[in-house]
Amino acid sequence: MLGAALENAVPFAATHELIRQGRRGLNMIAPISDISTDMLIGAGCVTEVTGAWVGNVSGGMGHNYRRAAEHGTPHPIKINDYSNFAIGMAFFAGAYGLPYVPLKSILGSDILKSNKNIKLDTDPFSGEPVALVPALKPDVAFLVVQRADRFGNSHIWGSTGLTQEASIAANKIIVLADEIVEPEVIASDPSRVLIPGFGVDAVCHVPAACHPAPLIGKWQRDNQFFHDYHKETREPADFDRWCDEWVRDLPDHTAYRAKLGGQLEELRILGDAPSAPANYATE
Amino acid sequence: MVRVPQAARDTAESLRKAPNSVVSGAPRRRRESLTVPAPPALPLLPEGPLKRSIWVFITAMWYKIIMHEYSTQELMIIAAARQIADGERIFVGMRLPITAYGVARLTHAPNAVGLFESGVARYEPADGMLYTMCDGPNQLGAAWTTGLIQIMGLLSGGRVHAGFIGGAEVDKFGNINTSYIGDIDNPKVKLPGSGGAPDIAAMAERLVIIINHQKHRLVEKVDFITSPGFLDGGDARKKAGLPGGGPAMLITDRATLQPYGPDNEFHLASIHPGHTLEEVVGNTGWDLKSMPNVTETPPPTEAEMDALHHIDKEGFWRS
Repeated sequence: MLGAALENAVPFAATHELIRQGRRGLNMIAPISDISTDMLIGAGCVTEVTGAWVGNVSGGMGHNYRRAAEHGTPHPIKINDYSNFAIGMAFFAGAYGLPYVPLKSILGSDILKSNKNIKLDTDPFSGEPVALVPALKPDVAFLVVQRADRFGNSHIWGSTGLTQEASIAANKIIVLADEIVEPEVIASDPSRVLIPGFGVDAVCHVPAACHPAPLIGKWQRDNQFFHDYHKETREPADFDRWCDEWVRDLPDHTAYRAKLGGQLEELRILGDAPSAPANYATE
Repeated sequence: MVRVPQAARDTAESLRKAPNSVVSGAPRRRRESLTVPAPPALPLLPEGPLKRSIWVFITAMWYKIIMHEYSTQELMIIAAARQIADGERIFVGMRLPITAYGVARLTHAPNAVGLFESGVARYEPADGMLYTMCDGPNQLGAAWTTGLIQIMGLLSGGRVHAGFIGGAEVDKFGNINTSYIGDIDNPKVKLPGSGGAPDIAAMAERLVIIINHQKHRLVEKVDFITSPGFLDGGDARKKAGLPGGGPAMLITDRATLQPYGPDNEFHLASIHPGHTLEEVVGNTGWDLKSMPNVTETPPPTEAEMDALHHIDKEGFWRS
């Protein structure tokens, strides 16, 4: 699961690492993860895509996704269609031990035809049509957070998409923290904890793990990068060149940040717009 | 951008050169245009430089209001904005819908609430250019930032008045395709997918669809129903168990269409200024019928254009 918060906080650092490690046969699950899924398809890592939307949000289509679905290049992919709410509720079911969830919002859509996992049934109480969406439980979820302590207790703010559900439904949780702080910092505001450390398997300190996606309060969106990706990946050979330059020829994310250099620094959020403090005192 | 037409400028120029001459009330060159009525003719120019300048100013303002320059994309956005009533909860998608919401908020619907499927609710439009709904400016000062399930749950619970969606193809019953052109297993074109559109189409009280008016986009029957309209027409939608009201309007760059009649098929409701019935029908992929009273789509007012330029300063979403 990669890209729980939709266009926000997409764990591109994990995307790149999967490509560098030459992972194959992945089922990529995300409601909308912008160009991350497209990159993984182009690099040959993905054989199955489970999601509601795959493409380049500000650029339009994802070239690799289209090639794979239309021509089987680099190899065919199996597509599991969902709507945003349907995939969200599938995670909800997976997180809270429900075998499936009954939904009305997917009725009437041909997604019921293209996704054989979703079954049309009748509500036993009302007799009305209802769609049954089985639980989704990813093997691994990569989640970007603004700050975490070294035990994985994480603070996240802004719109969170399906981060909460994914962090409970997934078998393994890997947190990519923009900043590592002392445990007291996280403990000072338990209401802001979306992912408690006792659910986390690994926490990594990766500044700007989200680049080119935005991270609220930390990094702006690199709109030019998305635009360039759209232009520079039109053909498979173009994508290979792009992937070599930005992923495969770089040893790790530190090198990626170094390559971006000033372009990344310009996106760092320096302003201050803190929230009002919340008092937890007991007397 | 508004411009003072050459005719008014000519008049001002001629008055400066020959202040004592009598000029007929209407400017010298009448513009040949369907959308421009002539200003009221005065039999004699008022005497005195002050009165003459006031008259020239009034004429120029008359032309400025009537002869607004606007693009079809801008008219589409403004037509969409007009579909938002004050105080409504609106599901907003990227591109034209988010701009339309901003215009509505700044003009006739100051209390409308914008809902974004990633988990954002806003009272006021974001202060700054947005490329995605998750961008910083859309989150700063939001009414609520939360998860996808919470925001879309409002929709699913029947608490959202209207949603806006676009797409690749729409058919005469308002079904939208953003998934596959051609066969599901061997598609000719694989489109990006549904996002939250099926949920919006199914559950919102009403749906407004925005698509460019071309024959290959307004089709008799879509290849794949990503987001349901009236399905096969008539009461098919109700039979399928869909709670929301369905499509209320289709806005294109040539016209607006509304469902009409027992079949709930889209009929022509209004034609945009500068476009013709033949053109609209000719670019529609089904035998387009007209509603009883087809009007001309009202052009944008100055307030609406100002709001639009304020929301989309760089013109990114209007091009």
